[in-house]
Amino acid sequence: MEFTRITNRYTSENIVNNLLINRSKLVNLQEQISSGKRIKKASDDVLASISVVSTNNSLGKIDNYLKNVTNAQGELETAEKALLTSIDSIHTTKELTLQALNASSGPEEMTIINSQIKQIIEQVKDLGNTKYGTTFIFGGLQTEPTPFTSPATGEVQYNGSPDGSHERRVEISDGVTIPVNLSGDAIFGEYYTGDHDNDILTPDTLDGQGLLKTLISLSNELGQANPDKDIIRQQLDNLNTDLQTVLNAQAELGSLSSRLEMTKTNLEDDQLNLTQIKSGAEDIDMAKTISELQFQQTALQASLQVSAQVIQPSLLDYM
Amino acid sequence: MPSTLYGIYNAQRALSLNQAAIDIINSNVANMNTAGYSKQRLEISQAINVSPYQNPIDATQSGMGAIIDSVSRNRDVFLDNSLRKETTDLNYYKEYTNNAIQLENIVNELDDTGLNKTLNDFYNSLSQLASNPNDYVIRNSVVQNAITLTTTFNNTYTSLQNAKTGLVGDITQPDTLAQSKLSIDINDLNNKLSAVANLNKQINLSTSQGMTPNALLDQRDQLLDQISEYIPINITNESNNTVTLKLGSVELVKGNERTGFLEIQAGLTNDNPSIVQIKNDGGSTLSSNAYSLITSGKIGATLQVGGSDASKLTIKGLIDSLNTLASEFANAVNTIQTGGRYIDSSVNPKELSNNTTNPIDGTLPLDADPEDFFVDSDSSGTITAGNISVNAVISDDPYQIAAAALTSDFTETGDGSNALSMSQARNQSIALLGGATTQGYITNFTGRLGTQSKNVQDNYDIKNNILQQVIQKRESVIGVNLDEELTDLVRFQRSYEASAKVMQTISQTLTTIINMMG
Repeated sequence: MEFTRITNRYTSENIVNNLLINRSKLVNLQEQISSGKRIKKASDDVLASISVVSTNNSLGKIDNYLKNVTNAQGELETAEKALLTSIDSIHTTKELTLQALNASSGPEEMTIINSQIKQIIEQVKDLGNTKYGTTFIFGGLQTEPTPFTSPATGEVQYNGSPDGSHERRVEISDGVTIPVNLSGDAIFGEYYTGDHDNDILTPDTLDGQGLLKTLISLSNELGQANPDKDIIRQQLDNLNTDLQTVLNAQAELGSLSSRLEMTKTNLEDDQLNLTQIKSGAEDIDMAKTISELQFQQTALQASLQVSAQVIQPSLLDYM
Repeated sequence: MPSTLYGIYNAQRALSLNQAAIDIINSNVANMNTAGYSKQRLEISQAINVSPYQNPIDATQSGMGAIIDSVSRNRDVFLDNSLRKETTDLNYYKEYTNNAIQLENIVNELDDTGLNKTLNDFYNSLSQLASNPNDYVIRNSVVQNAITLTTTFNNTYTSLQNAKTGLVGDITQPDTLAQSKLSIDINDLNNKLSAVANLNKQINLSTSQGMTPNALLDQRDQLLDQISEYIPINITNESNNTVTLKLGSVELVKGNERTGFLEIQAGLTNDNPSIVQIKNDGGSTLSSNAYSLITSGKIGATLQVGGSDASKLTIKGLIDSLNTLASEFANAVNTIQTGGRYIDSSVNPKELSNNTTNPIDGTLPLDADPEDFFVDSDSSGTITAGNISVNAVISDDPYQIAAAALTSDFTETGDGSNALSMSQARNQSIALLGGATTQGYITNFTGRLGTQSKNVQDNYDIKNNILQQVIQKRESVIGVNLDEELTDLVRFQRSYEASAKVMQTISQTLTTIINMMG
């Protein structure tokens, strides 16, 4: 039988070496258990580390998108409430107009109806100035100065971004943005004296569009000594058109809201999946690691015991 | 016929021989745990010709006892060489591994403090700003996140640079060259080379006088083991037990002279701040750049980690990657920033800037164009990871962030579309980052560093196992085994006792004769 000449220096070096290896394995496992993480640096497991870094990226983005979605939902809800109130106002106006058209309505009734309509005009103007946080939501890109103002009594002017270039967009997933606001002038309209052609020669006239034009025109007519019922009837038709505009806007908000809701669900699903992937990549399997730790402890004890026995005997003990 | 007293002499020689054997056992046992000690053996042979006055025929016929030939060392040149080669490789990977782990700890993207995390926070805060461009608090948080990001860049850069300076020095700070690890290792090595030359001299002297200087040989073997930790060394055995040491084809030690030594010369650029040259005491240069000779050993690893070889894991490579990332990132954000409108907070109500280059209304007073978001703090003209910083104009007045697009009008301060574009710069693939996004680049970078580090660590483990085996083999040749020594001790003790008995017997026989004559 072939044998190796085992020397004392080698035996002790070997024992120390093996004990060191056992101990460092044990400490490594202890560290993993106390930190709950399997990898501390990239070289511990390169693929898992890459997956941790890239899921961290995605999770960071999703976190941000979710914040944006929640924020956008808040703003859309505020806008929806404003639209609901304005629909109520239009219905009230319609009832008042019908009352005014009633043959029995005399000048006193007209005055009362007119004062109610004036209240409604104020209300619609206030709705146009609805705020979400510190932001005027119907001013387009102009979120800070009040979008609907009254340059003179009985006039309402819209100062925000014009319809078409009004959209404020937020990012809700990679490269996907969604508008969170509707154009204030398209929904509420305006009616004011303005020099529209910068021409000082022609006298300025009242000009405008939409709901506010209808309401103010109606109020102006009712304020006449002898209101023209045809003109009032005409405004009733206009009110129906305006109502349709608001209803359309409401439908648009509704579809944006449901899109946000869907996106939110998707993002939350992604977040859950990615968190699981990340956890799978970097977290330890507690049961497995603890049993490994116990195995390692046993191995260390065994090697200590055996080492102690191997070091001790020599011929010296028997001489 | 031998002389009458021949037996006495013979027994006396046997006694001193056994005494010598016990002395050697004594030395073996005493040095059982001495590093580098080789077990010594008494070489004994049967005496064939003790005295010139004897008849050779008698010599072959009767016992003449034993004589000591020499005291030899247990040694195997082949094992020594293979152990030294493995030691060189092991120390190369050991040094590389230590450095790689340190670098991984500096550029750690797995915890919540790395570049990836701070980049994420910065992009996210821009995305928040896009929703609320008027909000001072959010603008300020963008600035704070940008400062954290640039500080992370700067700190990582400084740590890497310090690690490199510690290894190979920095030519802009000449003191660091002499204090570098490379320089300290080279000094150690040069001292050891001198020590070998010195030992060669003593060994030569003893050997030429017919002695076997085992202790000196052991000492030199141990030195050679140590030298092989530093550089890949070629050892040739010469006459009179001297050795010649070569690095590649350059002689470092020959006979009792140190014919060459390593010296550090400042490099031309900081890519390779320290150049190792080989010189001799006469002042001539034997190799003007020993980089290609020192392929292994601790010094080899230090040279490579601190050097500029693109195929290796180098600190320069990491710094370059970080620099590219910092400059491309700053460039991407700056391009978008300067193509927008900031909020002029000096007027009330606040309004968007009437940029000089792209005015909203050229007839009105113009504002300055938006300034770069990120600038180089040392005004060197190039943004690096070391000098990237947030433009003071922006950190002093966060309203200077150009969150609005050029298309917006004075009052449209609620336009955050340009901030959104800046936030979406995170999805932009950048050609100089290998077509990756900024964060994708960090992922690639982490993966590459991890793979390279894993590679040297694996090699270290393999070499460690191999070296353990070689050490075991060599130890089994040169080490002391206590059982063996004790057995020998008993053997020679008995032999001594027996020789004494023989002497006593011879003495008694002589007494008998003398008494008869008396």
